Formats: sequence, C-alpha cells, structure tokens
Amino acid sequence: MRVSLLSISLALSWMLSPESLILLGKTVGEHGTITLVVLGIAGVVSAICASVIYSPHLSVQGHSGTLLMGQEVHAVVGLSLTLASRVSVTLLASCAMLVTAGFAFNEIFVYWFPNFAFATLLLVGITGVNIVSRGWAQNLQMVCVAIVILGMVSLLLFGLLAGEGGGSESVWQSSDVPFFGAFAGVFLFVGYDLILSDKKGQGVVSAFIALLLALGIYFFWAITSMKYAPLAQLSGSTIPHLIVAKSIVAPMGRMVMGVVIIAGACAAANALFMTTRETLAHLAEEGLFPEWLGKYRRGVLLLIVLAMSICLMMFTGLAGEEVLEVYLHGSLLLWLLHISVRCYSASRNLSREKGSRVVHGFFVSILLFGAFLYFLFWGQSVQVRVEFCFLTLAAAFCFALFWRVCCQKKSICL
Amino acid sequence: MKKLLFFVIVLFFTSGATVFAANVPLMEKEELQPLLGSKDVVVLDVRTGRDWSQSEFKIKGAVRASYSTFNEWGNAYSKDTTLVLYCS
Repeated sequence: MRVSLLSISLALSWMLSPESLILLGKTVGEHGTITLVVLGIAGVVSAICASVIYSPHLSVQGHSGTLLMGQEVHAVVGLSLTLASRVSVTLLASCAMLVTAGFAFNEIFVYWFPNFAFATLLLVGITGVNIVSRGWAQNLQMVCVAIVILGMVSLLLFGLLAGEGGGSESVWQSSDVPFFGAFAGVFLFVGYDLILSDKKGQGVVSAFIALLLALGIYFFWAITSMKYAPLAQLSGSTIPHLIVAKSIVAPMGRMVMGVVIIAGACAAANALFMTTRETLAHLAEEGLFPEWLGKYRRGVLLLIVLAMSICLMMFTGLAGEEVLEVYLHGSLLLWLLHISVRCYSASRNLSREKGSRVVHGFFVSILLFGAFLYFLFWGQSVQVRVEFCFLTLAAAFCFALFWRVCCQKKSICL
Repeated sequence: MKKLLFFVIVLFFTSGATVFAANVPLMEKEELQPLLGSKDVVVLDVRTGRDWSQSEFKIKGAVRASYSTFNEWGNAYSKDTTLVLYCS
C-alpha cells in the first residue's frame, strides 16, 4: 500500500503543480466550457498511454523506459531522450517552481522575507532530505501532495457549495488560438510516467488512480473558475488560480492557495529529484551512465550537481529572464517527446509479445508526437525554443554516443 | 595575507556597487499613492520574467517596460514627466 501511495503521489506531482494550475486557468479562459471536454479527452489519451507504458506484458521493464526504447528504437536514442528530458525538466521546472513558491511566501505570508531566500531554503531542504534518507524524501512527497489535495478540495467545496460566484456566464467558447486547448490538455497530465514501480502492473493502477484524481480536481476547478472569474481575466492573467481562490473566499482563499502553491512546488521538485536520481542510478547499474556518478549512495552526487546547478540558475537571475519560460516550455516538449517515443516503443514490444498490433498505443504515440511538433513550431519565440530543444537533444545524443562507443570498452572512461 | 587581501578586494567591489546605487532616489508606497493618476507621473513596471508573472501585485495604470528596450521608451516621455520604476 505504501508503494502505491508513493507512486500515486509521484504521478500527481506535476499534475497538481503551480505550473499546471496556471495552464489549466489559461485553458479555461481561452475555451470556457469546452475545457471540460478537452480535459476528458486529454485524460483518456493519457490513461491509454499509461496503460501501454506500464503494461505488465512488456518484456523489458524499467523506470523511464530507457531500456525499452533502446531495444525497440535504438540504444543511443533511448538514452538521449531520457537524459535530455529528465535533466532539463528537473533543472528548469524545479528552478521555476521554487521561485514561484518564494513569491507566494513573500507576498501572501511574510512580506519581509526575501522570496529568493525562501526559494533557496526550499531547494536546500529538498536536496538535504533526498541526501539524508530516501524514506524521508518519500514521506515528504506524500505529505506535500496530500496538502495540495486537501487545499484544493477545501477551496472546491467552498466554491461550489457555499460561494455565490461572480464570474460571467460560462459559455461554449472557442479560442482564437487553434487547437490550443486540445493539445495543451496533454501537458496537464504528463507526470504519470514518473512512477517508480518495481512491481508489474502496479504502475498502471497507480497511474489510473492519479489520472482520475487529477481529472476530478481539474474538472471541478474549471467549473469553479468559470463561476468566480471572467474568462477574459483568466486567459490574460499569469496567476489565474490565485484570482479564483481570492474570489471564492478572501482572504482565506488566498492563503490556502499560497499553501497549495508552496506544497505543490515542493512536491514537483522533490518528485523530479527522486525520479531523475533513481533513473540515472538504474542506468548506471546497466552500464549506460557513469558508474561513479550513479552508483555512490544511489546517485547522491548527481543530486548535489542538480541542486548546485539550480542554485546557480537562481543566483544568476535566470528566474527574472523571459527566456526561462521559453526554456521551460522546451523542456516540457522534450518530456512529451520522451513519453511519445516510450509509448511507441511499448506498443511495438507489446505487438510482438501479444502477436497483435496495439493500435491504440501507436495512435496515442502519434498524437503526442503531433502535439510536440505543434507546440514546438507554434507561438512566440519559436527560434529560441527550437534551438533549445535541438541543442539539448544534441548534447544528450553526443554523450550517449560517446558513452556507448568509448566507455563501454572500458579503455578510456573510469 | 593573500586571503585577507582577496577578501578586502571582494568587499570593495561589492560595496562599491551599493555606493553608486545610493544616488538613485527611492520612493515609498505612501509617497507614490497620492501621485497615482497624475498626468505628470508615469509608473513603469520594469520587472521581467517570473519577477512579474508570479507576482500578485501589479500597480494599476503601470506601463510594462523592459530595460532591454530602454532606447525606445526612454525618449517617449517629456522631460517634465516623473518616471517611477517599479522593480523587484
């Protein structure tokens, strides 16, 4: 039971993060009532993908699907995608969300405490917990997610049952941005691939429970948002979730949402640290990653490198740069690409194991790849985003190729 | 001795920046509030990235301006206008 709760909380970490709440709010603002349909479709697509990548019938099991991708596509491709997506998301999303938590703490709770100092404290705390004990990190994960769920459910109950509303009439609204909601929906549910499950079949159950929980919260939060805030205000705001929370019950709603933001940021950062560490340590055991980095105390050196990198990013002011959002968007796209290729690899493997084509798996992998391409080339800052994705993939590819060709001969690398 | 000298040099440069910055007058919110809405006062929100997007507090009527485009907006206002820069 403990492992299932941890798996569910890992899967929910991104879905209930501040970034997802912002994306949900903007989607509601763009699409109105259509958002409910978008959520349903995105949830189903994600559930199908989860059922494929965590299928107990796969001949190759693993945390990130790297070995599976290596078998079904190419070893270098699999390792490249895993490195590029995991490391870039861990660095950029953690930096961005911890800074968000710092602002929430400074503006909602203690105005005189510097926001970046709080963000740094959170980073040091999460890193320290992960270094000291994996058990502590797991407990922190479950506690943070529980706080987020409690906070969101409290606001929802008050908003739907007790509040009077004040937003405009929700309408069947289409966005000026073609397909925005349809594809944006899939970003809300990524995170189901963060499950660290060693037991066959448990990943599917945990992913389904997490998706169902997230879908329920998203669904009712979308309805509450439309009830309490004008759609134009939601789509134009950078903090739509705070606007809705304040409208539901001020000032308590604002404070509850502040706690949700801080706990959500901690949960997401902790989950990314845990899964990246476990994934790379697992790859080190398989000889696909430097042994000295991955094996010592199960990747603790890697944790320290990640934390110091995030610290450096915060201290050099990256959080105050517009380009962080472009890089973050790029890293999420790489995450989506990773899931798409993993789904494709799993579909190929299952098709061979079962003797019949897993059509739904192939369809979903193509859909997710289409979403990746759409958002890569649509919107602002296309050039910067494409350059980021290309350079990140290229760097990961070079490392993977070098490691495979040179280091596996044990003649050059230690 | 070398370590002490290094420390003194670092201290000099870090405090030097503060000395230069002290020449820019600061305004408290109590001073600004009565001036809001005045034609001769323009509040420029020069926060960028998450400093702006994740902050709840946006001053009503403030104009967003980026330091990277200073050459464009720097000459857009008359010399009699008071520019109040809101930063993080």
